[in-house]
Amino acid sequence: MEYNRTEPRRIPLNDLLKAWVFLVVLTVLGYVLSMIHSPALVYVGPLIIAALILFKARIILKSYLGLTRCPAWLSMLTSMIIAITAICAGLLTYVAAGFL
Amino acid sequence: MDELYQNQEEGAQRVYQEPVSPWALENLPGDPMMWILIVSEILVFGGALWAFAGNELLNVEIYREARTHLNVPLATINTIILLTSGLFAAFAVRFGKFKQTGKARLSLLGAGILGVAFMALKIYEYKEKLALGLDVETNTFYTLYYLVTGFHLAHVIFGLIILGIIALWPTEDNLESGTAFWHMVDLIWVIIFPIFYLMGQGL
Repeated sequence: MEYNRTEPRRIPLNDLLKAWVFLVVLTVLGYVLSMIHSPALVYVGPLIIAALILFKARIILKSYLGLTRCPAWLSMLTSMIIAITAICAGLLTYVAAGFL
Repeated sequence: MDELYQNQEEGAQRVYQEPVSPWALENLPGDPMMWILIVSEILVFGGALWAFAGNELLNVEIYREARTHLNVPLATINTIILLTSGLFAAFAVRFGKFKQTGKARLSLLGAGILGVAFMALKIYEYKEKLALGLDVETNTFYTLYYLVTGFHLAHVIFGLIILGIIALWPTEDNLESGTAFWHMVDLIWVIIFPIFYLMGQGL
């Protein structure tokens, strides 16, 4: 590959770094939440974790995979992830709340 | 499309066009077939995760007991390692677009090293479980645990091979397709990790 001298030498990477920081913060937040033993979290805990999954997935799809220029594909993949996590979180809430 | 081909022939940066449909494949990063694979993989893992969650209805006590043996801090560190690996892969694409091949290769090397670190920690985690006598036949929880995380680990190994191949031929298309696979591995772990390790712990 030839190096083109006219192209800028500085590449904006801040958006990727910001995305990574958000991903790490959300991961640590999920870990901290999982350590909290509170009756109040029985019903909403798995749903909070599901919301964190969704935020992280959206960041990966938009920033890492660059799907902002393909909104239909972004929506489809997001919907699939919502369906997977919502069903898992719903089942877990059902069990944790003692409905069985 | 002529403009696109012409630019590819000249080795210039890929030109993104106004898509004819919101579902158009031409503006997706990398090879469209990679996206068919990504959708299929998400569906397969999604089905396995539903099976895991559904089985909890039948094995409430087994799941509760099995979760106490999971190494959540180690899995959290492993998640951060894989996310950082994804960052390096994204850097590689950026450098590739600006024809900075050396930096792109260095970023791929960083992504690969972190991928190997993820693999090493996962194998350590398996050894830890096996030392406790928790193998694939122990109960439904661990059957699905080994099945899903093991299948994911196989994707990590395959992803590392792909990263190696695109490091040898770092064209813009190769970089986009190869790193798309790596990000898919990342994305799937981001879903697996909370469902297996976090949901049902304190929550």
